Amino acid sequence: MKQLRIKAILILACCLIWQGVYWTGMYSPLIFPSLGTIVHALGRDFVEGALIEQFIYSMRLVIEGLLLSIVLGLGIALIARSSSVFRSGIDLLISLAHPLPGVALLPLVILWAGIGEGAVLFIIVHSVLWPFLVSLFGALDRLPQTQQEVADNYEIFGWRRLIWVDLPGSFPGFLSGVKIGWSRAWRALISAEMIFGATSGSGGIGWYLFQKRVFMDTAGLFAGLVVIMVIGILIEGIFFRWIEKRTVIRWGMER
Amino acid sequence: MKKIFWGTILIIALVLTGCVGTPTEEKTLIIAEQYGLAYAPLQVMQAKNFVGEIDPDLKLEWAKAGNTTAIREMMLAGKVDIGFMGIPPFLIARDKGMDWDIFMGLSQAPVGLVSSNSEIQGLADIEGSDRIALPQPGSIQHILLAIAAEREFDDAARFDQQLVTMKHPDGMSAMLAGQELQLHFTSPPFIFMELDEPNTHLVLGGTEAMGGPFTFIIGAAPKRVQREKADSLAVLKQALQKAMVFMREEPEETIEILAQSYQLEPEVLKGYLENPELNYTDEIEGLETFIDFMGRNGYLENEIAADEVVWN
Repeated sequence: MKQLRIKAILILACCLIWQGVYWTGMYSPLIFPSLGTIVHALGRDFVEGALIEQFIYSMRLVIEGLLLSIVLGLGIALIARSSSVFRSGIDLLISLAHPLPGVALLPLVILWAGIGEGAVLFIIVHSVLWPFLVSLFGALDRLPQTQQEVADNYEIFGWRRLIWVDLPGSFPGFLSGVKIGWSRAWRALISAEMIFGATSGSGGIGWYLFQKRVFMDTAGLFAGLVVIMVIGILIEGIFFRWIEKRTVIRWGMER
Repeated sequence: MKKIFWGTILIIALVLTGCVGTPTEEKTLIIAEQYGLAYAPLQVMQAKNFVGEIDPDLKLEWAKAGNTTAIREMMLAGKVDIGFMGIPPFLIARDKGMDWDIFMGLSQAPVGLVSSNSEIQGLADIEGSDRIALPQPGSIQHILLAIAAEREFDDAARFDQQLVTMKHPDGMSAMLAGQELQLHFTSPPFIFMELDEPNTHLVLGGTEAMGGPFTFIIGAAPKRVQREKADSLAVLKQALQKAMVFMREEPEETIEILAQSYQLEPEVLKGYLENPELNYTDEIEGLETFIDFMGRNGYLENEIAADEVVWN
């Protein structure tokens, strides 16, 4: 409860500073709008439905991309556990691909995935998969020796070993990988949507932001950012917290 | 005690250095740098030092900006004095309350919608599933497409849900590489390169869309610059006019200068520059047509009078 209060005070302070800067008049209101106009824009776009529709569209893509990356990541981890050659190949791939932003690969993405949803998904998976693998491998490498030997003695190998022994043992790493992946997926989605535009009426929240910017509706732009932040807080503070309480905290791995 | 003493001295010194040098800044103009054939007078003016010939004290600084939106934001933040862009993005910002005016035209250029699909011969052949690549919504390419759509289908927003935002080079490679994207609304030199490829054709030309000639790129300056740097602005305009005359009278040297700054083969560049639709003139054409169309279709909320947005 106390933490919640501190967070609320921090957010309030940020709002006050923002409004204070606005009142000094040091920046043009066309690029630094007041809180009032941002709230107004937020309300207007909510009522018109544009924001919600774009939001649902983007959310679906983020979840699809995230799930796809998790499945791919687990598959790679499974193979990497049994083949050290594969593992070093993947390690090399991670160090090569991880630093590259998805949009920098644009010409390749267009060639392989086209310009529709496929391209957006491709960029999301590219942004999520590598950091997810880094945290997953990190946790797998630190699994307790005793646990491993017990599993060896019981002759539990392959996917059963991954599901029943290794994954629960490395769950904090898995979870932090998913958490990092979640925010990386949003970032990738927004930059990808800003490029690929609208399909069948929905371009997602990134396209929404981009349109606001080119038509100089800066308040609308910030309204979109506020929504993204609120969703971030909700998912982080409620959904992931809920999972943690039921898993790593209950198992005594984290507090 | 000693530390505080030296600290105070240091701060005072820093503050004082901030004060010195401000008066000389009056004689600089910061220009948002843009590349492309349509901006050629800028490169020629720079290479021939026309500004220095008119006023040796005026210093030009060049700031890199990715696109029109960035130029507007840099200008609002006071980081840039002068920007060059299409008329529609200028009008959108002016409508939203950005205090700036057009001070000259820079070029007229052949723009158009190119297709790699031989079945698409006119706008009516474009289906709902086709995608159209262009630089950004609200750009001159987008507005020209909307003007043509209004004339032909009485629906300016007909293609708005089919747009893909791509920089010209990306749009070109996407259209030439894949099957998914077959339409690209672009400008020189990309329109020339695309039309030089086999199996591509022009679906809609800019002049045809607009229903007449129009200025492709204009120069714009905020009121702040018009007030505080009026002389410098006049010098810049004069230097650019000089560059335009030079380009007409000295085509050989112009090609030499531009071939170097655009990394193009001189023969190829010569072909581009000889295109009758590519003109470098300071006149501003089509402003009223854009204002009428954009006002009628909700791109502009306020009444704008053409003669009020031009600096004299």
